[in-house]
Amino acid sequence: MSDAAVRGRGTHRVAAAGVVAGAVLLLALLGLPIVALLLRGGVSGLGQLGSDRELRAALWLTAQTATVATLLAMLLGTPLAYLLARGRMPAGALVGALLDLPLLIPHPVAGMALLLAFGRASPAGAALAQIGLAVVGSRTGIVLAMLFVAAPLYVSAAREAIARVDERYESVARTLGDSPVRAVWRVTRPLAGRGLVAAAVVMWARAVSEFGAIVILTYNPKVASVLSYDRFTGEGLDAALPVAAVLVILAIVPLLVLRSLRAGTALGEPAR
Amino acid sequence: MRLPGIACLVVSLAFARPRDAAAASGADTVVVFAAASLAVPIRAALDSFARRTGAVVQQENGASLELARRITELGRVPDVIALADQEVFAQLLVPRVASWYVRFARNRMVVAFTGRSKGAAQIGPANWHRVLSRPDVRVGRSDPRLAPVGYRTLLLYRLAEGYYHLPGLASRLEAQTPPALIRANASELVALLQAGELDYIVDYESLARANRLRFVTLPPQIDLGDPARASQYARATVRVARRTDTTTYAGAPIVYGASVPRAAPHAAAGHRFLRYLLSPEGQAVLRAHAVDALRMPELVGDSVPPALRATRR
Amino acid sequence: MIEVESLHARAGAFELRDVSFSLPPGAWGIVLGSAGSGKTTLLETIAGVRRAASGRVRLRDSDVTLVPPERRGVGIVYQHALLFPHLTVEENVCYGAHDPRYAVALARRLGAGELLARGVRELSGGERQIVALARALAPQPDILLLDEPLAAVDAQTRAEMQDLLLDLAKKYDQTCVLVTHDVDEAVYMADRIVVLSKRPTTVVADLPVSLPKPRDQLQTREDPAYLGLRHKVITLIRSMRAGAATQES
Repeated sequence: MSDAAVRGRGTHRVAAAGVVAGAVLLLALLGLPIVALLLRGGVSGLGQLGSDRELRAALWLTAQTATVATLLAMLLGTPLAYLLARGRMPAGALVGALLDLPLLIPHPVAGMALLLAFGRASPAGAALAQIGLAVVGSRTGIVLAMLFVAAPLYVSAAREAIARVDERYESVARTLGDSPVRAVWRVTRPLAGRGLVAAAVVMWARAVSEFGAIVILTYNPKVASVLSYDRFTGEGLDAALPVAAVLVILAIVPLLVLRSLRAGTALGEPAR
Repeated sequence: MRLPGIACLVVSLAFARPRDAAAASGADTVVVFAAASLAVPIRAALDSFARRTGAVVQQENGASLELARRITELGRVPDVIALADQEVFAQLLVPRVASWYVRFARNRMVVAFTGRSKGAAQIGPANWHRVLSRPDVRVGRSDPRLAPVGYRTLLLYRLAEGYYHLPGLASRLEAQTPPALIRANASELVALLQAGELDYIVDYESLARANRLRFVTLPPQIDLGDPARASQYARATVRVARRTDTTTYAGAPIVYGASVPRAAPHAAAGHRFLRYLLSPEGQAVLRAHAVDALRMPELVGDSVPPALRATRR
Repeated sequence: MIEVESLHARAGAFELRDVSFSLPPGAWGIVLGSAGSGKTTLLETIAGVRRAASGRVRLRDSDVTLVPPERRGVGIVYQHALLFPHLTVEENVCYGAHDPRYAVALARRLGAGELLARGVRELSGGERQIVALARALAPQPDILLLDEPLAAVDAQTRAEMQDLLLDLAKKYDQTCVLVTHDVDEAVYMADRIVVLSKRPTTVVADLPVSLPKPRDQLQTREDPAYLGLRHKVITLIRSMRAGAATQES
């Protein structure tokens, strides 16, 4: 073998080792805390689910509000995602930037911004009060905070999912007699469907894990993240760990859903 | 070609340490845990201390109980801890975390409000309890499980019930705040009041003054502010139930306490700052921020470090 | 039947500049041009899928420049078939059809009978093309646009398909525009040949074809008029290429 080939082999081995080392390091960084939490609190946490009414209520509240927020995001965000994906949004770049902004704002700051915009003292808040809705200390506030921090994720992911569906399919459907809406409904929606559901799951997971924005608006009733913090500050680490472990275990649910969605083959890519 | 340059910039930003210069020159580092109601005054005192000595200062705020737990549960120990209730020292921190503490400031309970609050024009020291009982009024208070100001509010209500001879007043007033309007600490109440979400909050006078809120001065027999009435205050008790245990608090004058924990990472610097805080200059800073600093701080406990003995009178 | 007037259109890198031609009812217009000429863009503009920057499209004697594609009654077969991946072959074919039974029968006639239950992914290139054809024909449009529909089909099938297309168009009175590379195919099927330049695309030649119809694979291709026309077109394309080459060098 030539010198160059031997050297090439050596570099290759070093590079491969580097890749493996990096991966192991990152996985350890991500995995160890979770393992530690589960080891310390997993069993007692699950056992507590039966007896701890406050925990069950918090979990239920979190699931409910996250679901409402996700449904709202899908309703309001999917058309927007479509327009963005097809490049038909006026000032699309600006809209895109606006949508990215909530993702960059620290979460308590987001909560404060929401308080300013929708609190009782604001015009919007006063209008909401007319129809009996308050943002502070309520489920409405929780849903609002979740929407603010997570809806941009949905729109972004939904936009990707729709963009992956060739726009020409819609054109073909239109030449076959479909109106624009019908074409999107019959062709793009089924083809992007899996991606849209995945986007919704991502949003749901994000909403469920939110703390900073929610706690500014609504401390009571407590969502799971607020409860875990509350247990910690009020009762100590030992009391908080079971709650924390349960939350981690439940986080596996959306993960599994996402994996099963991704395992399906990608649709909507025409043979070239 | 630009990529290596950008990468260098990012890496150097990630690892830049502007503070290294101060530490290298031998200046102090002081980490202070401060109760929420002390956040602003302690900040001012730390800044003033830093200007004088060139020390590097860090501050963390929170409800008193939360801060205590950071030490006992998380093992994060500050150089100085300043809490809104000396009881927290007595119950949680002495003797394991700290062997002594200094009573350094007083406070009183008041009812704070803004010009926007309902009934703002009518409320006064004689009728505050009636205004707060109105059904259309939004009253906020703190979570008694977490913050001293929370259980002090409940004690205030009980003292008021006796003072005004109105049986059931305490539970009525308590019921005026649904869970939605309960918050974790004293400062959050102020924030919500300022945002217009609440009409009245029961909070410390120092916070009301510092935030330029309007407030009602309450009768000294019930406002937990007069050390001479300690036995009177002690007649009121409140049981705060947590999931696993119940604590009974008795009324007591509001006294703020501070200490340097045994395991403080920069104990000497901590002592220096605490000494500064208790000095006339430090007290002036506190008073400028509406904290009623005791002219004669009182030390509780033994093994007081020499640096602070001079302040003992 | 189909009139295109001073059409200007843009689609990414492709540009149509001042394209005009017309086709009487029942005629076959063949568009010839190399890659890079905006043949697809032209078809899309006629179908209404793409909007012209300026100029007019007239179908059946009325101005449809602003009419959306679903109301133009134009069928289009794309070069890459673009079969709906989430539907079976049968569902694809019946997608726009008013009469599903007709659609299925048509599919069988085109040779796609065995494919009906299959998913789209399992088809070969040639099979996709045939299914796409069936899908476009199923709604029985009277105007049909075909973008190299037989490119992926083998030579034997191609000849059969050419005749079948001519037959169907005659039977249903369809006016058709077909895009192709293949000069032989063009001359064989055309009533009119439009030659397009590379971008910016303009009409280089617009030639009437007077060979007798119906066409026959053997007879027509041996007709001297066919050969002469073929010769003319090839020469034209060659000189176009040479001209372009000298322009570039």
